Amino acid sequence: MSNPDYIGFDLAFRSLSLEAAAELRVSSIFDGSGSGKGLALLFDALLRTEYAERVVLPSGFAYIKRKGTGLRVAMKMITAEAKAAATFAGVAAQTTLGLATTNYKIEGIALSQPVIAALLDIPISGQLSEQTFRGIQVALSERLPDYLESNEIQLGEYSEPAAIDLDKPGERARAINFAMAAIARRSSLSDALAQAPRSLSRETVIVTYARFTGSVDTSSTRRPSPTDAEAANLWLSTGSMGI
Amino acid sequence: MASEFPIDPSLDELGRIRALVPVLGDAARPVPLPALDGAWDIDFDARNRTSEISAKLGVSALLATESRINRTTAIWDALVGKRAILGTPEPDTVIYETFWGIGLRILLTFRSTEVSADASIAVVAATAEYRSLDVQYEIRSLGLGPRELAFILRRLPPLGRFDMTSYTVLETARQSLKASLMSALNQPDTARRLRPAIIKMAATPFTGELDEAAEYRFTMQGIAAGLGLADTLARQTKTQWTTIRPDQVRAIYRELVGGDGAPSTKAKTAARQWLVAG
Repeated sequence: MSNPDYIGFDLAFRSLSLEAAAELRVSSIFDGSGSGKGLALLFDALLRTEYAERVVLPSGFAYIKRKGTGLRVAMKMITAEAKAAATFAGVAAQTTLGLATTNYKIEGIALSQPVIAALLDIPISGQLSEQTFRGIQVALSERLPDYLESNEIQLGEYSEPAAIDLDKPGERARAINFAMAAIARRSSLSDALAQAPRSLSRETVIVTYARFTGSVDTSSTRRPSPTDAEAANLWLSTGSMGI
Repeated sequence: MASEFPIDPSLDELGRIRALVPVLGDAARPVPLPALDGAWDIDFDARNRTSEISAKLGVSALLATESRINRTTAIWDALVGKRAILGTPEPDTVIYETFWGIGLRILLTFRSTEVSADASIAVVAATAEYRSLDVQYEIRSLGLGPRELAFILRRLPPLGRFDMTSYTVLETARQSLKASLMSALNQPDTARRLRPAIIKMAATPFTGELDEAAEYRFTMQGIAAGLGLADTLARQTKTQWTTIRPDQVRAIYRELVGGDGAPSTKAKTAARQWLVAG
């Protein structure tokens, strides 16, 4: 059995905003998600090669184009509050307890639809439940290993969300400065985003707000507290928040 | 200041560490792989870094905006390979040591407010178990292929929580891996499989995003006021901008103004707009 030049594998769990997931097209489950209360979650079990190409979209979101083989479990979790679960098990627990509604879709990288279907005892997409969660676990810990060991492995392209604005500190600083000024005025996140120049990184504005409010809900009209405004003002005049 | 960084092992077509190219440019080259003679080096250490920096280095996965704040990533390596140390570094050398290895990298991400940022892996596991924390864990490999991925998938619960049970399973897997990694290094394609995994740098190129933005804001204020570089820097001693680094202010000023002298009207206008509207 010949294998392409893999440099290793990733068993990785990622969470990002629904807006970022829709923009980055990491799975069709997020198409048209836009802003909203919820989170996009990805679990990758992938072999990958050296190939990587960083792509920055006009909106400021960035991804890395890679080549590899494996499975991606994409989940769209809708909650009253966009609180992130840090593990797949945490997502399943929140969903089972009725604190969230989560839809999943299994994507294959360099695996055909019939192959993916053969790895699963559950539908390729649907609602996460105890049964489907167990089905995903079986696919990952039993069927995928069997497949990897007994089949010729092909390569396929996939995209991986990337840290934003890494190569543009000036742009990042501009967006942080804008967000700090908006927090100091006690503008809500949705108002700040509506007023932000188009060239500004929305993601950086959201991150900066999240440091204060703890939420990434882009539709939130909740205003930062007077204490938050005071801290932002201190940063604007001294570069630190006195902590 | 920590100068040792686990990194994503991917190299670009020029042989530079891809994750570091945006911040270091051509200086992002690992120390070349030395001759593969003598004893192999082992790195089974755990290193804690902020999740923000780990994500920038491509080591850990990207987290949603709210969850990457105030989080620490513990990078728990089980690597064997060769440590390459630069004998005579040039004055502008940034990377002076590189560990080239194959093996397993386990990443644990936890909230720094719930577990101490410098906690050991065992303490993270115990805290996760007894306080029911939701600790994210990822497993990455360097230089390993489909057979090893199948092995790991069968033995470890990829979707499970990190607790004392998974800690024990992972620790056992790490220890049992040592012998098989050593024998893998005796294969003819070893040099090709070894990846740059950990580097030591003369100074960290990373700073917090807010501190970095503050340096821009401070410089913009000087430019908007029509101050030359020397007067802009002198403002620091007269004001409360204590976190900014003069070297960075100097670099930003020169980039935006084109020299050390007083800024042009155009530069002043641009700086004023930046400060007011973003």
